[in-house]
Amino acid sequence: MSEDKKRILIIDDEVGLRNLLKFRLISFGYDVLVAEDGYAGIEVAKVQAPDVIVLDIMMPYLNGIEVCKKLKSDLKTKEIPIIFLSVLAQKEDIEAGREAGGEFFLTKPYDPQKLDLLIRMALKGEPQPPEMLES
Amino acid sequence: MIPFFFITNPDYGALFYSASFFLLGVASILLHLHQRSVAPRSRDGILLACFSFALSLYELMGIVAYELMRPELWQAERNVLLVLGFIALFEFGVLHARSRSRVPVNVFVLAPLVACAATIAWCLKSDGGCEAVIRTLFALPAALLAAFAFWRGAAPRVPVFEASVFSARFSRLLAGTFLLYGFCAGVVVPGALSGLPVFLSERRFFELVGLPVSVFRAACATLLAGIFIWQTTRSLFFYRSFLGLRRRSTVGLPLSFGLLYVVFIVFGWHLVKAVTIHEQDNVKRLVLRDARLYAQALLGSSDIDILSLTQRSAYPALRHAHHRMVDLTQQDSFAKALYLVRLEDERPVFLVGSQAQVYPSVVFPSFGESVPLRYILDAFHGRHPTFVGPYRDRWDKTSFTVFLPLDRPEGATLYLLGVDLDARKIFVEIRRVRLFALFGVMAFLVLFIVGCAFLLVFAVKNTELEAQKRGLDEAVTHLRETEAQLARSEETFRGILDNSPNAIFGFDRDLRLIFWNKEAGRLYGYEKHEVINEKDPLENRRIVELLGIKSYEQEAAGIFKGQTIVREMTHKTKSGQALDVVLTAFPVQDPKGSILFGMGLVQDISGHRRIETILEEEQGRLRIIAAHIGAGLSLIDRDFRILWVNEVVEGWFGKLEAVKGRHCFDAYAGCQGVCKGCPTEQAFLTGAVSTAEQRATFPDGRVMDFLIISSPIKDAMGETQQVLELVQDVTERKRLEEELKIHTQTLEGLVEERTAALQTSERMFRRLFESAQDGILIMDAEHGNIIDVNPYLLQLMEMTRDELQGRPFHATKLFLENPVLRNIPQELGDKIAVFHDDVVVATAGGREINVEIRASWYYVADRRVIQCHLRDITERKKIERIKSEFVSMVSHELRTPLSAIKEGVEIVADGTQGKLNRSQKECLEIALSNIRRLNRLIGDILDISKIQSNLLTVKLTACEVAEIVNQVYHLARIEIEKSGLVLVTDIEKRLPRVMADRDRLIQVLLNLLNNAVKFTREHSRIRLTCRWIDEEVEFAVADEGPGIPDEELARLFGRFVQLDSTLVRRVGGTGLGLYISKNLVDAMGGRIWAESKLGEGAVFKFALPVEKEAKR
Repeated sequence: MSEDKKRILIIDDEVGLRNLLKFRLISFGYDVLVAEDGYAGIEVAKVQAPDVIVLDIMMPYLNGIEVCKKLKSDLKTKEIPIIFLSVLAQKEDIEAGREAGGEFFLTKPYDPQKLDLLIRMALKGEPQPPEMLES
Repeated sequence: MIPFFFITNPDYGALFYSASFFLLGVASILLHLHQRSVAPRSRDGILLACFSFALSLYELMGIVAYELMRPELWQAERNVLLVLGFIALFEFGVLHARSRSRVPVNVFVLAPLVACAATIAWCLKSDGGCEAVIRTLFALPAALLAAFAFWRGAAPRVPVFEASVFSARFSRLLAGTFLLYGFCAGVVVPGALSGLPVFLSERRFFELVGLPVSVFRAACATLLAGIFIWQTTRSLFFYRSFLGLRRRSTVGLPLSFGLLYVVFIVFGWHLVKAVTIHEQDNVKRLVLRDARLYAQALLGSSDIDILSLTQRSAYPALRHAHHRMVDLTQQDSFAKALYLVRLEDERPVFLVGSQAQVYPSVVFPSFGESVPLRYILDAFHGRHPTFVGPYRDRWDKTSFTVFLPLDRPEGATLYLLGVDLDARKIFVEIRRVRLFALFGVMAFLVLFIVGCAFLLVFAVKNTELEAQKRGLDEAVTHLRETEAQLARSEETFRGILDNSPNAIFGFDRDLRLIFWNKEAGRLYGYEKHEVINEKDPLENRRIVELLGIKSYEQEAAGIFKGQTIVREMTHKTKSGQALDVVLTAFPVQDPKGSILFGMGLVQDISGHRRIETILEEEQGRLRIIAAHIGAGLSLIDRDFRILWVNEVVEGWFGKLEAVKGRHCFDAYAGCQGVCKGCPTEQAFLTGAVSTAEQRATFPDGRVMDFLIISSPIKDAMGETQQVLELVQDVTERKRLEEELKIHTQTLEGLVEERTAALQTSERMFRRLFESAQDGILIMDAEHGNIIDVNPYLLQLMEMTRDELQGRPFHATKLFLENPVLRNIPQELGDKIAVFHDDVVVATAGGREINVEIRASWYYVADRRVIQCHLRDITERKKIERIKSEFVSMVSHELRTPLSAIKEGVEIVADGTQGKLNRSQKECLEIALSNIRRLNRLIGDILDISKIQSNLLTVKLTACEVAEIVNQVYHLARIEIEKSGLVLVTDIEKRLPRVMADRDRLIQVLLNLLNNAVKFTREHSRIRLTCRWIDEEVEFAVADEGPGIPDEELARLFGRFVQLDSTLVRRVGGTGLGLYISKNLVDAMGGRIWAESKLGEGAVFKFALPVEKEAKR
């Protein structure tokens, strides 16, 4: 049964949103893993090997960009598509994310439908269409 | 001179013709000898001599031929002579005629020679008979040419013959004579023989004409000779140089030539005779030899017994003899006839002959029937061969007849053998030898006669010379003595004169220099050897020519009458310079009082002359200067008396005569004593140039101001004896000076006022400049030099004044790192101003600051200057940055809880956490929509913050309009439909791509759509249209709302504008949306506006530029 469900890792330091997001994703039909900071997230990713990672940027200790870089440089986690989910919505931020290796970017607050779409695309391996940034 | 007895014999008439030519030849030789000394290359004499002698010889030979009755004798040789002689004459004529002709000389030389050769060849070959041709061909042209030559020789200024031997008159006479001769020799004589006019060729006519013609010819020749001789002996030079005679001997020479003439004729006649006789003897001898041969041949035949021929009946013997004779004559055509003669009763009887056998009467010798009896009788009785002839036989052939006695051994001559011989053969045999002999004889004769003539002449000369010599000897002895005396005194004098410092020369009566001293040589430039020829005193130069004083020749002659001449003259030196001298010339006498020679003493006064001339010139110059100097000059002496004034001063104070001698203060100023401040006094006292101005008052009240410059004139010891005053009328000048002073004062006052005002103004502006709180830089636009910087700038840029002021902008370190700022002058160019609002620049200390720079240019005087204002906006920037960072931070912070709120509500609203009832859902929906609104607001605040701090950036790319609009439509549709409205899109087909920032374009469109949703009425339509217009794509969002009043339209795009809420049904967002949209559209290079009519809704439009390559 767990093979049918895709697993998504959420890395976000904000507990409230983390939980809400978890509910949301479960309602979509995914299995959800959570990590409350960058380091934990990396560990989980290495061990659990999720299918998609939803990554917040503004985090203490290690910010999302750094996490992404680390993940992308590690063999185990290189292939996992990363969706950045952040309040930062400037062009520079989006570019920084892309440069780090993140395949998708979505701003907070997000449109759940868009998120769902992005996850599906990530799972399929399609790139993000350019217009789907703003919610 | 014509010996009359020769006229009777025309043949002998040719003798004096020959003599004349001979004389002509001799005269030609003399002419040649004479010319040889004057014109060595002249060939006249030789040519004429050739002509003359050739013809002379020709005539002589002719005489001999005719005497021998053999006209054909030496025909060829005579023709040759004729040709040669005429050729010589021809050449002579050519020589003097050819300078007029254009035909090249070679023709004249070659043609005759060729003709000559041809003729000679023909003559030799044809053995005579061409004499007429020769005469016409050669004689006529030659004589004509010679005539022409002589005619030209007569022409004035054309010295045809060197040394002009012939006078004009005689030259013409010679020309005429040659012409006549030519006519005779070339036409008449040949005409008679060659058969031109028929009657002329008649023998009778010839006999009639022959004599006069030959006489005429001879006369011409004689005349030629005579004239020639006359002329050659006429010339003075000829006499003097050749014969040594001093006076013309008008009788002696022609007489000697006459004698020569007679002698030639006599000799010639005898010669001819001798030659003829000799010739005849020769012929006779040969004839006899041949005759004897025949006799032998005849008698030697054993068939004929002569003795038996005595009997008349000895017919067979006779017949035999006849045949024999015939044989003999036929054998050799030399003998024309042979016959035997017997004497009967003292009458010759012809027995038998080659001509006939039987009938003796038919036998006769060739000379005819009438036999000169005596020849035969002579032969019989004399017992020696008798010659008859030469004669012309019936056939007109020259013949001889010889009667040979045929002896019997006993003694009685019984028979004569008559032999008729053709003489021609004999002549042919002998003539060549004879010719040479004759030539030799002639030559010898000529030489002999010429030699005699010369000897005669020399003899005459000699005797005279003897007499002269004796006289000279005496004179020589006497001279020798005198010479010795003279030599002694000469030595003494020579020493004195040679070393005299004056130029001294001596001259003889002919004014030839005989003495020339060293000084003379130096003065005139002629060395002694140039003017005095030691070897030939006659070559000494004559003083009148040497010194160029020909006009004084007569006077000089007076010296030899005892006069002494002292005179100023201008002599000529060797180099052609004129020399002014005083010549003293006097005769030098011997103790007896006879004047020996003249002496000349020369004093060179050219130096004096030169000085005089110079002085005159100087004086003249000075006078001119003084007159034209334009100022007054007056010369004052120590007593202040006027010595001299120039015209200008005369004009002021009166003529020189009036003022001279008076005191200057009296004459000029009417004072009693020296004027106060008199510069002349100063000059006398100090000895230096003094200047002063003085006023003079005239009796008539006039006043004049003068500027006086007094220059002292010092003598050799340095004392000032005189003063020269230069006086200038400065009256006018002084007046003008006064006026000028007043004007200047006024001006100065004005200038002071202005200067004060300027200074004040300057001070004010200077303060401004110095104290400004912006950096100000002023520089020269042309040269780029920094004219001034204010302290603020220096402080701001942390540089010192020295680094900048006065230096070229590009040479300083100002704005070094910033190319934009460095380029300001170029960027400014001719624009009014240039503004950069945010430039980062590094100060000298390395600090980085933000500045705002504004540059403009203007003209100061003629100079264009650039003024730059620099404002430090670092603080401002910093503040802005802080502000924007704050806003950014805040908005991010706001968003974080917001996203959680949104998700929390949404999850529940979606029913994920459990199903909801309608009202629950509705409440949550309200919450959600506001959350979204809040989110948008935060976004707007962020955008505005960026806009305000100029951090809003757009990235322009070519965007597909249709696609974007489509997306927008999808994004906005749900929202719109939720509000119960309908969204209609109307997009033009084939829209080009626009240059826009994709996200921002979407933002703007969404914004406008949101506004439309907010402000349109319920259940209405919202239209979104896109049109391609010119270079833009126009987007329009139209609603059907209440519309917007005009006064609000302008304010729409400002910040925080919201229309009156009474017209708004839905409370929408803040007025930020349009503000942001405007900024975005502007940033994308487009424009945004609104059109509305109240009650009819509003249309919001914006246009963006089309992609550059787009074509309609």
